[in-house]
Amino acid sequence: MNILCGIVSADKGVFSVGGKPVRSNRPDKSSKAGIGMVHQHPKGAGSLTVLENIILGYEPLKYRFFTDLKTAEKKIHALQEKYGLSLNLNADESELNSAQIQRMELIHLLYKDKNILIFDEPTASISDHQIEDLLQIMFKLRDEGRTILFISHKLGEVFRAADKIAVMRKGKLILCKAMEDLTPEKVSREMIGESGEINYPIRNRITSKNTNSILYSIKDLFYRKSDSQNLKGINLDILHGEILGIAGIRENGLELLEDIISGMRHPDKGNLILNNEDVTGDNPASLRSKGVSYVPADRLNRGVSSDSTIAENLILLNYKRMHKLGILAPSSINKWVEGMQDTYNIEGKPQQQLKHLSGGNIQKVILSRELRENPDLIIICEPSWGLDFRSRNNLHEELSQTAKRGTSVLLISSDLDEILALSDRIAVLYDGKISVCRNKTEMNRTMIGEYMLGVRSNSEEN
Amino acid sequence: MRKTNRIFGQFTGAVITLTAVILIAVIFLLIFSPDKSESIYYFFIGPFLNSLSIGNLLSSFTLLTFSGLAITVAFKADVFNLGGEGQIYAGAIAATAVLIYMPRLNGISGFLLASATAAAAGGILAGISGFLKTRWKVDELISSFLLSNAIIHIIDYLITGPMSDRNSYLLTTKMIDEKFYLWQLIRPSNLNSSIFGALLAVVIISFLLFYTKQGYELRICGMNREFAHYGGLNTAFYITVPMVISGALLGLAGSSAVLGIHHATIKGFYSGIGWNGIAVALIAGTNPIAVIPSAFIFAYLNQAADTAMLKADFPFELGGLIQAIVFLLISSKLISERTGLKRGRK
Repeated sequence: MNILCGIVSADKGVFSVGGKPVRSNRPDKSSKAGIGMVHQHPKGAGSLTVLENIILGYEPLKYRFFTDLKTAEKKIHALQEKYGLSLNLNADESELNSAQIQRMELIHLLYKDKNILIFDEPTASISDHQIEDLLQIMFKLRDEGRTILFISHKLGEVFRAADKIAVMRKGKLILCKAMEDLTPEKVSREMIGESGEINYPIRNRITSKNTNSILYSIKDLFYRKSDSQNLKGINLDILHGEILGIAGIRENGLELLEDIISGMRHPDKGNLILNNEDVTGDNPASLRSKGVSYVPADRLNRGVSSDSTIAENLILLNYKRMHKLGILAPSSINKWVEGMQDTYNIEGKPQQQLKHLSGGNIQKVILSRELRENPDLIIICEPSWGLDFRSRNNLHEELSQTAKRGTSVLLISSDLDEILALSDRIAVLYDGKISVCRNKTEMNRTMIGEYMLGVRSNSEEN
Repeated sequence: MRKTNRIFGQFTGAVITLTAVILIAVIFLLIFSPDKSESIYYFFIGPFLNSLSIGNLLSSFTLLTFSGLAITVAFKADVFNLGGEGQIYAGAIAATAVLIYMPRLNGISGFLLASATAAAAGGILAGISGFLKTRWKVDELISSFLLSNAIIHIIDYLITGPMSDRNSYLLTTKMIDEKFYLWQLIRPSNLNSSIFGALLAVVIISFLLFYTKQGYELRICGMNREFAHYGGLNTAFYITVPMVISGALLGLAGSSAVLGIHHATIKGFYSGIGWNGIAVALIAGTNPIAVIPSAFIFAYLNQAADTAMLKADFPFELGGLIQAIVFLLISSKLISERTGLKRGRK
């Protein structure tokens, strides 16, 4: 989408509007071709009024110099009436909520008379009622002969709105057909890929007296970062010795859930209970001291310091035990680090910068550091991002081994294969809630996909 | 093969910058100087021709080592201290005040107390910026600069008002007692025993940074604060503390100038030391040991311009111009590195 709008230019290939190719490497060129976009997270100039924001860059001029606000206002009022877009033009942009900002952006595009309108996840951040209004406006625009690209992962809306549906997965266009020829189930299968079900082996869990007792539980958790990243009442229990997988779409709450469970962020409402102790306000370090380790999804920024050496990264949790009178002797550090590297097969010299390691080795650095603390629970997020096939298999092996030793694993991932391959139980996050949580034996790939995209929902569960 | 490249690569930027600086200086000399060969001779060899200019070179090296080291400590923790000049000035006036108002101290205790007060004055001044950053997220880059500018005017008032020496032709405080003077190493140059203090400071800071638990924590915080928080380090502490250390070192630069060179606080003497400290730290590339060669090169450039100005017909403004070019080139290096870093993170 950024390519169409000229924010990013394509490596190869062109697109054309009305038969004319557009060589777009700048937003204004795309704009001239009649393409405009309503962004998922709209950006306006906060201190200007709505009116000023709408006409920004296209101000009607009086005497070639002064902005003619009156003419502009008249023109916009006409547009507002035509499409039923109510909005107070004199309010400051910063006072608007996201639905109103979205409307403002739309008026801005109509004011510039764009023929191709791109809506990037417009429904992610607004309420159901507002979605209905938006769809009505979109129908009206379509009937006028404008083209609308409606980008969404909520299939219900897509089927309500679209005439033609295209599916993109991993940078490729998978399918593009008229709506009548498709069903939501079919589209969701295409979006997830691999319609064939693979039977994943069921792990033999070791049983001990603790099995099926609750280790860590999330109670009625609320957190609101933005309209699209909003957790609305999450309840989830992690049992002793199990691998619990949470699937979902990363940008729609999964990342937020990771931050809260690991203590990087604190919830607006709700509690985190670990072994009957309330740990809601704990930071990652104090959680770790109570037996919860965390391997972040954002490995390069949070999991490691990539400009520091391998040794400096590995000793993060141990240096406090290694110093003598506050002095850290390099020789003893190196010895310890080399010991770690042998145990976990990590390449490189201790004094080498970490960023020269491969993704798999960096993951091993983090995982080994966390596992060495012998945690009761390890929270691991998107663990195979950026790993090649072999490292990924090794990692999965390491995680099942960990679980075999009795450590619970909370696997947060948007990769369904990973979730299915490892988990004992699977929970799915959709629209800020856990839409389903079941044993793996009762789930399959298609079902998870449908829960993730909101095609299926299950209110009696959770 | 790769290893040598990495070591070389670390300093390529600095080497290119310095080469460019020298080339530009030579071009200026060739254009503006009436006697070209003589100017170039004095520009390159001049600083080493007699003991006076060697001594002055080393004396300015001392001050630049202190200030360069101070900025390096801050950089290492990824904080910025732009208040160098004010902190030097505050250190100087604090040391002067101690020695003027407590004349009965003996040489050693006077030296110790004056240095400690100077370090405290600079440290507190910079520490305020660190505190503001941790408490209210006030950008330390701006607050340290503004605080420094404000304090400079207050100190100017003290020098010209309550503490002024009516008998002097300069705008200066009263002189400190002769027993407090640091040893002159090469008379009549400014070089004094504080050069050993500066070198010692480099050794101590390097040891603290690379061989202690706190040093490790500081470096991790400087490298990646989110990672540090994740690992359970006290990230707020390592904003304030590096600022305090940085300010304290600059305060020491001030007291060493008072005890070793001027023997009073002269209005505006700090000029150039604070800002050049940033340039020194940038050439050193956050490596405290590298501050030594980097400060030396900087001091040499200053002295070269001075000697060429005296001996050959080198215009006075040219010295300032060359310094300005150095600063421009080095800060452009900084900007590209900083923005490069940000791009890399995204």
